[in-house]
Amino acid sequence: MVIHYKCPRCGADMAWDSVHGMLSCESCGHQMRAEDYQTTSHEPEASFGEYASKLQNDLQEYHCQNCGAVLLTDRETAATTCSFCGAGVVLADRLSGTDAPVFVLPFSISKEEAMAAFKKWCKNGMLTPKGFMTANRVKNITGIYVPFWLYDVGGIAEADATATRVRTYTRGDYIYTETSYYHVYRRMRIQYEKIPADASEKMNDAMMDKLEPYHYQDLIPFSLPYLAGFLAERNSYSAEEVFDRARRRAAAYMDQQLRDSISGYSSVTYNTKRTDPACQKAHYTLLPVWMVCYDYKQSEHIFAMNGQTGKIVGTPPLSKGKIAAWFAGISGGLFAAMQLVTLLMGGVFL
Amino acid sequence: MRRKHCAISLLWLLLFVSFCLVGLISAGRRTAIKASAASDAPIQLPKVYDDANLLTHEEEQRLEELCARYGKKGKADLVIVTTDGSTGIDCEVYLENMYDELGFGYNQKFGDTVMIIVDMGTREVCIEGYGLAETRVRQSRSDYIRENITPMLSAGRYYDAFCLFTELAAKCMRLRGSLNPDSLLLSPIVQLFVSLAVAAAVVGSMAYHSKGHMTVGSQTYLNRANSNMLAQQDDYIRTTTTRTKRPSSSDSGGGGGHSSGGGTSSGGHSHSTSRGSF
Repeated sequence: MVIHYKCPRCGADMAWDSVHGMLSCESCGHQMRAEDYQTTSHEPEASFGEYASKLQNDLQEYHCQNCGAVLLTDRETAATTCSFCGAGVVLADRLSGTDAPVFVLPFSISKEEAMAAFKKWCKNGMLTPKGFMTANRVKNITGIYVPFWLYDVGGIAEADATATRVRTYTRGDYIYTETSYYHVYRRMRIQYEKIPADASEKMNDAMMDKLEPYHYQDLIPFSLPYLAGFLAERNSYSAEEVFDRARRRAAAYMDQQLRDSISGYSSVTYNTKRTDPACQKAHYTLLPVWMVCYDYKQSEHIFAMNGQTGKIVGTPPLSKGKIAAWFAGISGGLFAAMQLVTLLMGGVFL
Repeated sequence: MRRKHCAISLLWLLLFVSFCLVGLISAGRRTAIKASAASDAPIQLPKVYDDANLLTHEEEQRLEELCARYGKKGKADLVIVTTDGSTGIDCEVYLENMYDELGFGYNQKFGDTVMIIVDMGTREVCIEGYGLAETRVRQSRSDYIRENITPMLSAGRYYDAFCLFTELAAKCMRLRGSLNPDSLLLSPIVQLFVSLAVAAAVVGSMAYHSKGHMTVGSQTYLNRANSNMLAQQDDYIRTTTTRTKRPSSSDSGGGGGHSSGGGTSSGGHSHSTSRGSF
């Protein structure tokens, strides 16, 4: 079921405006809140039987309501733009019922702001090549809602350890070392809230992890209008499949907290340590990401920007010339300075 | 492209200028030494007093030349004395008396002097520094000179020992500060390594910070309302005490007892001292 968000005044397609936090129409400038929009659902393209059989295929065939072109998407795409007329469309059936996300974090950064921030980031690097710094070869910049599972994880963390406190003092001709041994036991209940793990096959997990943290106070219950004008993906993995990543992170955090709770000792040796994080809840959420594809020296560099905070992640190219220049400059300058000081001290025996 | 070239050229220019500066200063100092040597023509006192007859006549001549040459470089009179101990006077006092009597000094009478005495009777070597040498050749530095020549003295190579003495004394006189002339910090190779290492570290950290990194920690997702300590115990078990004997402060530095410090001659001239056996 394809949804177009039509402006009630002029009938043009509306898109989500992150600057004002509303659906806005580019043609007449009308703005309205997402909650106020009444979805006029179009007739389903086919009867229920045909619809069910279509779900078996990898490539789903939808039609743009504006121009009638076929929207070629793969199984995971939940919102996209028509490649012919550019209208923003939302494939509502992929995000409804049991597949519906619980939360969505709307974009706070508009496309222009994202481009400007990216250009600024490109200029900042001290080792970035000159050609890269002008940032005028951005191949495309796309706003995507990436599906995440936000896990509420927690459990009991227990540690049993032997700790020592060492004191040294001198008396007469001897140095005394006094070692006091303690039996330390800690048992904590630790709860973590909304640890994210990306559920999309297409997105690089490591890159998505680095985009954190997202500020969850802006998290709102999901509703379709926020997706208008952006790309959105559906989850490829279920909550159980991705949970292992979140569980490992939670276990590491719990371990860290256990260590931090034992303080004031010279050394700590752990006898047993038990962390057992269990999943309390998993929230299916869409989080905003700006993906920037940059074409530099015939190779593509991909960067991701957090659509709420603006944090940019990616590996920029490093200019070998600049690296050599910095290295030669610092080492040469330091060496010359040290030799100068030695000379002034009279140490250079001429 | 132009901006990058400009930056690189600037860096090379900076390097070139610094090296030119080094060269100019060293050339300037060399001419200054030559000029002062020409104008300075004090009464030339003999510098080598070989009463114990450890050196041949030719060696004495050569040592006189060395004392003159290195004396100019270090701007201090270098005096070498040997005695067989028959006078019975303590070697340190012997040098003090010589200084008071003869009035050595590079810049003036009773001026900067570095004196060494080898007493064959007590088998002791003593180095004293007067004037500027009192600060430039004292404590660790005079010990450094003495420790370097003691092996040669023990082996009976007196001439070589005295040659080395003149060289090291001049080096110490030239070096300001408190480092020894053989300190690693002054060696150009060590300085080169240090500058390369620092440059590598700086460039490495720039490259590391150019990409993004995880900025969340163990507290970021913590739900504080639902997390708390359930049980906590810190039980004392026992204490064990061990002791080791303190290393005594009177440990030997180099073969037999030695002392360093200073003193004042009977004529009222203060000096630094370093003495030891060989």
